[in-house]
Amino acid sequence: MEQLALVQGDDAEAWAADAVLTIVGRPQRRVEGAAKVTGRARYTHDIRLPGTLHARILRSPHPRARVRHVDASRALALAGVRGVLHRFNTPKTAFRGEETIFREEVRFVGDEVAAVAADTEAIAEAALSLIVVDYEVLPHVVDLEEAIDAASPRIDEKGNVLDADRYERGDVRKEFAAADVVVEGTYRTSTQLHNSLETHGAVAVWDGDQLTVYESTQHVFGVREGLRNALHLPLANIRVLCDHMGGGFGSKGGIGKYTIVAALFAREIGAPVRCVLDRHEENVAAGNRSATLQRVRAAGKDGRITAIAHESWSNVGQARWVADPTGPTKGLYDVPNVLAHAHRVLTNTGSLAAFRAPGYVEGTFALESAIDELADGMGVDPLALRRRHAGSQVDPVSKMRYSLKRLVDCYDIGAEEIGWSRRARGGLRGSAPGLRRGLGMASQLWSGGGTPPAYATVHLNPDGTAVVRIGTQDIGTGTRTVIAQVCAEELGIDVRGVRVEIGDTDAPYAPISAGSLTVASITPAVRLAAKDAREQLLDVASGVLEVGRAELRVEGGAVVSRGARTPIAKVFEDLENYTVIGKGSRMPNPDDIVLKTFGAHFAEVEVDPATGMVVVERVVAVHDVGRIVDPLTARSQVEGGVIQALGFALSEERVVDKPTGRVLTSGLETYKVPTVRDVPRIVVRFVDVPDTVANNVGAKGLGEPPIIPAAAAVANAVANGLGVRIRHLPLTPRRVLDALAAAS
Amino acid sequence: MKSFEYTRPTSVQEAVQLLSAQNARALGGGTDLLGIMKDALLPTDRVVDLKGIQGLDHIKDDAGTLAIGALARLGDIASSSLVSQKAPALAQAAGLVASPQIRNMGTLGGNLAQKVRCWYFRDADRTDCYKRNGSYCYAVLGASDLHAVFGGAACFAVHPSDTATALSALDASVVVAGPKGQRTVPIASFFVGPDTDYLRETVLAPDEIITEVRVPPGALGAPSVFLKAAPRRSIDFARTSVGAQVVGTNVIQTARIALGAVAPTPHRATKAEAFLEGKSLAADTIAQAAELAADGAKPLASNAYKVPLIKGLVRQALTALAAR
Ligand SMILES: Cc1cc2nc3c(=O)[nH]c(=O)nc-3n(C[C@H](O)[C@H](O)[C@H](O)COP(=O)(O)OP(=O)(O)OC[C@H]3O[C@@H](n4cnc5c(N)ncnc54)[C@H](O)[C@@H]3O)c2cc1C
Ligand code: SF4
Repeated sequence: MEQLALVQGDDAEAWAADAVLTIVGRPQRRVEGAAKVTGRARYTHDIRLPGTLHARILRSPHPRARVRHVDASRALALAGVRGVLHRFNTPKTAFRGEETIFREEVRFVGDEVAAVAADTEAIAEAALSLIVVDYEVLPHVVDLEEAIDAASPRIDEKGNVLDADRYERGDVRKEFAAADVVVEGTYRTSTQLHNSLETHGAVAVWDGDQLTVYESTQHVFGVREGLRNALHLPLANIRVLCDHMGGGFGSKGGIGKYTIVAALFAREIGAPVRCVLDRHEENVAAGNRSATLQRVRAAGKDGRITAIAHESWSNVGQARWVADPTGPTKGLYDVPNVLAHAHRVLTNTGSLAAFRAPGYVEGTFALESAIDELADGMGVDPLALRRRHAGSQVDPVSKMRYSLKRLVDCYDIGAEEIGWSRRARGGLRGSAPGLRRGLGMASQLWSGGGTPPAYATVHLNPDGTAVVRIGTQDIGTGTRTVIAQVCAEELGIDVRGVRVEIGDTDAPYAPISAGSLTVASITPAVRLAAKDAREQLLDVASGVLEVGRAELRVEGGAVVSRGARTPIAKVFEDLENYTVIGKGSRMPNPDDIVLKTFGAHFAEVEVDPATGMVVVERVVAVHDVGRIVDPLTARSQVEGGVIQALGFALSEERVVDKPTGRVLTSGLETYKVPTVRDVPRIVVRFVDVPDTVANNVGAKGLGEPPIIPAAAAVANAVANGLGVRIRHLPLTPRRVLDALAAAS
Repeated sequence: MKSFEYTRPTSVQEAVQLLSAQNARALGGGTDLLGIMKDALLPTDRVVDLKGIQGLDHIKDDAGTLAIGALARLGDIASSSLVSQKAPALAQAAGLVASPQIRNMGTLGGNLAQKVRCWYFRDADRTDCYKRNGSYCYAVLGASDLHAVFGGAACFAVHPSDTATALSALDASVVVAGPKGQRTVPIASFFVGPDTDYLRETVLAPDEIITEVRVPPGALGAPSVFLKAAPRRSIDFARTSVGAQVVGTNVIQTARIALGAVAPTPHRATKAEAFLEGKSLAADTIAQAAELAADGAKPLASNAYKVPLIKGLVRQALTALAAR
């Protein structure tokens, strides 16, 4: 479908590569840093309005069952309980394609069955155990491969395995037949849990027919839309707020059932209601990265990759979509013959939610492992093989040109930094007898070009400070800081003179903070708003100072002309409260051009074959994402992405008990996110060439790129060091030892 | 958390008396007990906080014996030069427990008396597991990655304590105080397996507490080592650990090899120990001893990896001792 792009105003010329910028491109302290470290920053979890009630959710203990009857009388009789909602007394509420938030057939352990509102969380919790539910238990299946097996219970009338997407270019069959070398592997990845520090949650309060919701979200406007649909309210009656936010990683793209629970209770009881998940709920019912089973065949001839076939099955729980792992296979390398086929597999487990580069993390592991296996089979260096397919400036899927692609530069920088020339087939000796050392690398492809619509206003106070208003949200990535930098740069004032007002649906629209699109979507609008304000200021200054408009510019908080500096405050001095309001809107992306981000990670690992322990010693992460607006925040994005990828590669794994369907790793003791001692040295490098075709700032997204290639790089390094390839993440001591036992 | 009575005795005698009530539990650093209470895994009506008792946190040389009070913090044990010198395996084990925060709160007594970490036991809703006084073990048909390869019966949960493994290799004994006074229990008989009683992990009666741990002069100063394998390098329980000590120069008089996280109690690799006696730590001897250490292991569905892990860790432990 053609997208309608309404263009408002004119764009600014993109800052050129050699433009002299004084704030953009230089490290800035987080503008909200002090508020965060002193505890003043308010998160959704901190919101305590006078008279707040607390809601807790009763969740199914069965992986699949029919809810036949709910008796809440004992719960309602408990002192302090203010209400109970369940499928037999809750109004119709549209949620993710269903008509209710309490299903008749609950489909995973943790599925919502009822909710209690009470004076305290403890009372609400106690009341949950007093609700008597009559379940008809049904046959279930929780494991991906068991669900694929036709002998397992069919949990959906359409079957458990659903076709998701099929893509082909060239003639794969022919090339496999003609190849010198063909490799084939089955790769598995495990379910990864987001574990945002702040769990999902909402606080709802009504004032007459006006609903205000505080929500820990990546998209305040998405929450507003979700509430409108669920509760059939006019948009004008809904306001959604998110001041500070403790991470989402893709899982907080819209409302949750807890949001609706809070809003319904708040309306019915007439008091603010807070409904936030605990860690256990977060890890059973708030989304995950699907476990996958992937088969990759790759063919080589005359030193080149000639064909790749990639088939995937993803455990989506009950979700209606799949995070397709075959994206990198289609678009990363210039390979003429590609077949990709993705399947969605239903199971009785919690559904997936977008998780930082959904599909690409899983798919890059399978693809890049297979490329290494092919390189080994062909007897060529794996980086050299990739180089032959990485230079093309044309996207192999759309056949359109990239705005900017510097993937080969990433290889050069990374190879030099890690010392790739040391890499030897069969690995290197480790630092102690018996230990093995390996080097590995993998490439990254992702979008990140941003999108309209996004709007911002900038108003100048009489004292020369500015306020930016934009309905984006800072999910912990430094969005506020980047906005302040771009505004200050364009306006010619100090960063500390910019206040950033975000996280409010009463501000101008901004898109979801996901898909690595925030910086590239909003900063061009902020820049235009600041430019508009600056130009209006110069108009005023020209009159006040009686100097020609063309001779004036703003610099360091002052209007400057021929050596004379007039502070902005001085310009406004006699104008009472005259206010300059600039506005900006994100322009459409260029036609017939593809905007992508690229990168490469290199890993050096040491493996102990006696204990199966993998120690990652160093990761070199190189990214090509256009202009780096803030090197400090950019570096922390990359470090965070690499760490999260290392968890996926080495230790993070949701374990579900097959007989009972219960998640055994719902807490942070058993679900193993990396600790500070597991974090290696991470060397962060950027190509840092602005993408002047993409947008007027020249920046693209960096949220997801750094989580994409690290696990594949580590797996390739482990295979290099050990001489045995383990095709199943995470590479726990158990998997390494099992693989070594099987190999010997 | 369910409400409970909090008591803070100032003497061992008083503590023991307070513990005689129904569902009373001793509190050390609380790093395990509080979690158990929050998840209501075990009924707890009274908490008896031992930290009000003076003189139970010592780490000292008591006429040649290393004596450590039950309230001594793991962090203090790990950084004690006395322990590092005389009983290195214990210092290493204490230093590898959890995280600095937990080591700063956790006590030696609590570490030895902690409950199992079986992921079924720790799931609040599994009220019918044997350890919760039920009659079912989920691990047998379920996910047994964490579980025992030796000594399981009814229950297959492993003992999670790192210090217990080290102390078993150091031939320690545990001083226990109860209503009838004090007794000293050799570490080898301090822990009990499910074949004896699946509801508890130690010989402690509900109204008994640990007051001290003693490492005898014979085990002090001889080289000892503790190694631990876990998916993470911090805040992680062992998937397998080994504490090892050899006594004797050139020719081994006594070897003690204790394995952790592979059995409901610290597991002594007696065959390997016997094999080593009278030999020196040559590479092939070490390799054979490592093979013997896993002798008799009976893995469940998903813990066969512990067998090579035991062998690998024992080999590394003995190799480390040979280098002394
Ligand atoms: C995240 C996490 C990671 C951990 N990692 C490890 C690890 O790697 N290795 C490891 O060994 N342990 C680990 N632990 C377990 C354990 O909590 C600590 O090791 C600690 O030593 C327990 O001591 P405490 O004083 O806090 O015990 P408490 O919580 O106070 O008590 C634990 C139990 O012992 C009983 N008890 C306490 N003191 C006495 C006494 N003097 N006499 C008799 N009974 C007593 C209590 O009644 C209770 O049942 C971990 C715990 C957590 C929460
Ligand atoms: S191993 Fe023990 S604690 Fe775990 S489920 Fe079985 S009986 Fe319960």
